[in-house]
Amino acid sequence: MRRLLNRILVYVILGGLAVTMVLPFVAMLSQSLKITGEYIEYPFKWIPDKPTLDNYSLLLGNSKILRWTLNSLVISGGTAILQVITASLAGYGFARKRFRGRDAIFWAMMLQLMLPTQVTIIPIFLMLSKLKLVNTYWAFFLPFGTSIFSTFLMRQAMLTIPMEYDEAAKMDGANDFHIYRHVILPMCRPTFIVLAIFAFLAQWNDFFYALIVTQSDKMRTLQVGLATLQPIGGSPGVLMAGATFAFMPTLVLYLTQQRYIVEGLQAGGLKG
Amino acid sequence: MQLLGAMKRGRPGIRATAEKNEPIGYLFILPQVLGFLVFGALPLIANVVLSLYKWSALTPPTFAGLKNFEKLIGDQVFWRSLQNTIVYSVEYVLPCLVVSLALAIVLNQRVRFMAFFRSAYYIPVITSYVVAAVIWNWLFDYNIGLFNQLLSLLHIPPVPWLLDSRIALSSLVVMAIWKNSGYTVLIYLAALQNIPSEFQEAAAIDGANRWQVFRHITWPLLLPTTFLVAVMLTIWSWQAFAQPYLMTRGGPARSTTTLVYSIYEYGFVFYDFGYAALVATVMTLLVFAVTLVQRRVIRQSVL
Repeated sequence: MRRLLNRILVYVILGGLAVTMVLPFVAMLSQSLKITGEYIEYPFKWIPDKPTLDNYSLLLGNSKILRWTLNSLVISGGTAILQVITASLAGYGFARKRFRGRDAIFWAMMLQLMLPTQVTIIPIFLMLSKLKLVNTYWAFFLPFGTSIFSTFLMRQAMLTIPMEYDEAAKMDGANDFHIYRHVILPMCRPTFIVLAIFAFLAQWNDFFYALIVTQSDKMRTLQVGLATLQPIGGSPGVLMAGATFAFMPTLVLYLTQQRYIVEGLQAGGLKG
Repeated sequence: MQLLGAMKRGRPGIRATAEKNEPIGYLFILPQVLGFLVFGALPLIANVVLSLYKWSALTPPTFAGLKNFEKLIGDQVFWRSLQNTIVYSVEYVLPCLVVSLALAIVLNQRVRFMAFFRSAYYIPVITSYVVAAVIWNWLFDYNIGLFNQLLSLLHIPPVPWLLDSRIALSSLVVMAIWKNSGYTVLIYLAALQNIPSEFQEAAAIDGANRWQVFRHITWPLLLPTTFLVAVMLTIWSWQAFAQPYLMTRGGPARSTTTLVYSIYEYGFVFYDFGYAALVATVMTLLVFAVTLVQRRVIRQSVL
């Protein structure tokens, strides 16, 4: 009997908390389907009486949300691709080659990782504006095309592979680039995927940096665009529609790539 | 976690020996090292240099010596933002640790629908702050927000969540805990699953009750994780920007102006680049100091 009560208590706590975590998203969806009158109605209705897609059509018709989405896709996709390339190259160098100063260089970079990225925004912004790169995709590709954290994870993954593989490939006459590309990289596939997903997510969700280096409405990312959004036609539900729109890709990515995302989170992948 | 674990250990790679040198390695690390130098190391140094200049968007930079520093000492906004950042950090890190440890312990028992529960806790973690802010701006809304509606059901007068300078910062903390605690749950869960169940079973056979098992077996084994998570959460909490920007504009009465928010404001609202760089430099030093102190505490109490 006590066991049963205990069991029930566990499910009540877990269930209650899980519902608390998820309800704000349900409310977001629900509010996005309401016209102004129902939006502000008291008491709040979880299921709208007259659900409507008006907010979504206002959003698509009167804002640049599709362009913002395209920008976000290009920026997040581009930096993710660049990052996995540069990080896996560097990971190979740090984990499998011996050269002078290697560990010193590596740990100097790791030191930087302790710092919040925001502290260097002023010099980076001034540098980009000198180079006339503010408000372009390059303002993202250049600073985020490399990542110390990704390099670290790539190196860790490559350290676990026995050196005999390299030696055997070398006997067969393979050069270093060939070994990197066709021997080591395929063995690090899970890490590679985790990094790609997290590089994409980090860029997709970023607000601070994108707010500063994008200046025209046309160049905004989805997050910054959403932040500038005002109720269109006086309908506050438009903001909720925008939030739902921006949230959906993250949700789909999570639901389809859950295993990799959990793994990446465990490795310390996402900045709060 | 791997990350902080490795930093603690300082584990080297395959040892570089004198007899074998493979300079081709430089070629592989070149893009990454260039990126680090140009966008990591150089800006840190530039920050220090910039903080000696008076530089606004319209006028050419002029050397100002310690003028910015003198301004900083008397700058109420800076001191307030430092205070806010520390309060935010403390109010956030401790409850986040407690809540997620409790949750992880419950989740660590064999439960059905585990995948559903886990997902429910993780989804806020991977949601952007902008999306979260749109939702929570409404939840916190004084007139039509869900929280005040729920309070009115209990006949409690509405609470000015974001409109009162005494509670606005704490409201942001509540939201941050909702958004991020799933992450700490995940870390604790992984650590709990690494503890061999024999330990607890042996203690139970010796007649220890549940609390004693937790107090004397589980908790000491979780200490390293706890401290590492605390370091990480602290660094992250110092980065708070999106919340005050999107929900309170640093107000009311500066009560939610964080350090990063003030760097943004000095740099990109007032275009006082030199002064913003100084605030950033001070923040860099503070973050380093806090991390070093925490590492020392970890060393002394765990190792």
